[in-house]
Amino acid sequence: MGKLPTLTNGPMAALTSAVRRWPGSGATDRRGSNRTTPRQWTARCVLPVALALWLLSLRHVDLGGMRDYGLLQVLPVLFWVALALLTLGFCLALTDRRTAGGWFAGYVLGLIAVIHATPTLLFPTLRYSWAWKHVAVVDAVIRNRGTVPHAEKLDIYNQWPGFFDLNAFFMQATGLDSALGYATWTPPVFNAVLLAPLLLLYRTVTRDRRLIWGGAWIFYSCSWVGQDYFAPQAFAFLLFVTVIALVMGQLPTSALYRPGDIRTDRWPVGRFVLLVLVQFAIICSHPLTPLMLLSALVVLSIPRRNRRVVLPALGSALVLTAAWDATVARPYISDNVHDFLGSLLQPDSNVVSGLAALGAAPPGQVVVSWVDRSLSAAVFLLAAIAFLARPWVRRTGLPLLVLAPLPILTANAYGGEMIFRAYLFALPAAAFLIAALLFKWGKRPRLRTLALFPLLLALLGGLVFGYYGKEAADYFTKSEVAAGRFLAATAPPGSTIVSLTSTVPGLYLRYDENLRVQLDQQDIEDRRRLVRNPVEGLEPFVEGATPARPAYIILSRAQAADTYLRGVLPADTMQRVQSALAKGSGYIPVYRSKDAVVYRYQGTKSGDGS
Amino acid sequence: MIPLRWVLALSGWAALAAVTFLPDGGVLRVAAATAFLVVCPGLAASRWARSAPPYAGDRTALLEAGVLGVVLSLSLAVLVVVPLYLSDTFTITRALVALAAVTSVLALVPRRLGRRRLAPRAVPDAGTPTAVADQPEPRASE
Repeated sequence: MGKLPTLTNGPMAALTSAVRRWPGSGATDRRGSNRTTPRQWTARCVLPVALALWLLSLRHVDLGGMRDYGLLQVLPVLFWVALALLTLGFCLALTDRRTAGGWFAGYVLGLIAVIHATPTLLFPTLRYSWAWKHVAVVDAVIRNRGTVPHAEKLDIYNQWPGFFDLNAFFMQATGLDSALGYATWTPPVFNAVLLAPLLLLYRTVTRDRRLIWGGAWIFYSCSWVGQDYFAPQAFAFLLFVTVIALVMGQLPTSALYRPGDIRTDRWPVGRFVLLVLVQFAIICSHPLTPLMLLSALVVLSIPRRNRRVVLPALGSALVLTAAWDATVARPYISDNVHDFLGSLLQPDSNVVSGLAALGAAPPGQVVVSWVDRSLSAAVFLLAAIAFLARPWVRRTGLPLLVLAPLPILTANAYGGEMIFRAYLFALPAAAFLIAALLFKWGKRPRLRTLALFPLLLALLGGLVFGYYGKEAADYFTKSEVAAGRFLAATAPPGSTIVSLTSTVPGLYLRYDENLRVQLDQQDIEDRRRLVRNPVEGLEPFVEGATPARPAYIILSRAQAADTYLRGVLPADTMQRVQSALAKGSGYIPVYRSKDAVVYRYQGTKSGDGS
Repeated sequence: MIPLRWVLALSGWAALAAVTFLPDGGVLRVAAATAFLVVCPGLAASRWARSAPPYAGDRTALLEAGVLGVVLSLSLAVLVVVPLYLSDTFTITRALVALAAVTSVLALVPRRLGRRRLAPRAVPDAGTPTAVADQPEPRASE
């Protein structure tokens, strides 16, 4: 009849045609739907109450009390009550098939606010040292009008500059002094913006709005890896989900088609141009995401019915990636090609390289590590059960998308991060599969949904361990920020800046002019010498210092916390270094505050030179 | 009432005027530049490329327009500024002029006609099961 024999024309039509919001279309039902039931009123009242309690809970939080469990141990009971209430309200909303999409949106945005805006509201400065580093890169791009010279390890940002160039452009267009102001709000804003392509992706699979919003809730309940700060990864991930949603929407099995639509299974030219445009932005912004995109498109092209849609998208992504890697990113690729090939031959080492060295970590961090690993395992286990128990999901591309990051996981360690990134890229699809498993409206749907309340709470419990558990090292006081700024402002070009770890706000400001040494990244012998005798251990790194090009040693609260949490160096290393430098000759304290101290060293022959 | 396409076509030039004549960091300049860079080029591009008719004019179409508006705006900005920076020819004016021109062209050219269109409604969809409310999975396949 002029239609392609696709899944959605046959038995699968129920999937796409399950659009009527409640059974029957008679006037009785419509009249009944206009009455607001007590359950609906409860679901509507719980949301504002939960959000109000959450805001009240943030009034008096002692951030100085963070140790092994980060924010978990300082957030008041009221915060947890608010989170539990929010979850309960969402469950109540799910039990009613007449709940409007706006209420679901309110609940999911409320969850995003509670999880991701809490650190932003509590912390006085930008959270997480890598976010500070990326702010410094934007600053360097503006100062150098593009490519940053002498970038050393940060030269990778010159070769995938999309995110940084975009921010440099935005800052100059607006005339803002620094990206710090909006970088602080990146986690809640990014997660809120990500919700839109996520919903679009889920709408390509079903038109059941409770399932769609349930999938979104599961996604945000399990997204513990924290790749939502001011970074190219967050930007590229947003674009990645959009590309996947566009491709899934074009597949012949897409639920976006209405009954009666002609399924062309070919790209309209205009939409394909837009797709290629977004692919280009991904490819020039981040080294890993294009590989994840290629992998996702390859697995989506496995079913024959998808190929007319997926192969053109795969071809354009492949050509753009190859062109970029052969031109702009060629220096990085040629320098690291041997490492890539070596990694390919050691897939087992890549898979385990991101796991923490638990033996040296403090007890609380061992618990945190096991909880976030358990959550990750539970996500994949539930997704696998969904695959077995809900045969209809097999016809969607989602199970393939869960598996898509695996080839990349075995191919490269990505500095020990790959296992977490693979989880991140698998999560959108896995979250929907879990929703399909859990939110099944069979007999007694209300009882069933309320029974899920403890499970949703358990998922959120796992999330907060992974997301909040390391905040002691991610949080910076104003005096630490002042120390970092003092260093950036006073260190002359050519200086060496030595720190125990990278958790120093502003450490990378003017990174194109100074050399940085992180002691926790040195060889094991160097670290042992440092622990044995801090002054002797520092010598190899500061011996070239002169009055014109001095060395600075910065010691701060967050570095002590980081050292303690990660166990790379003994927990008391900072105190030992500080005591030794106070007695050692040639180390002049040039900045001291409650949470940070900066020493200058300009060689033993020059006297103090201050 | 001014049609949206004309608002989009002029938005880039208004942002350029704000950036040129208003002080750094001023509220109006930040608002004008942000609104343009984050929304307008993408809306113009998605308007140009839209398959006709959109998905039933339902919320999905609105959602898709919103997603594409933001994502394509950021992608177009990346497409403009990265080559300028890599070739050492970046200036704010050049980048904004390029983006404003692209936005104007996309907003004013006629929309593309897509292939996704409705089949004649006269054709009965005989074998299609009726909708099962809130039951996304087909029972037959269970």
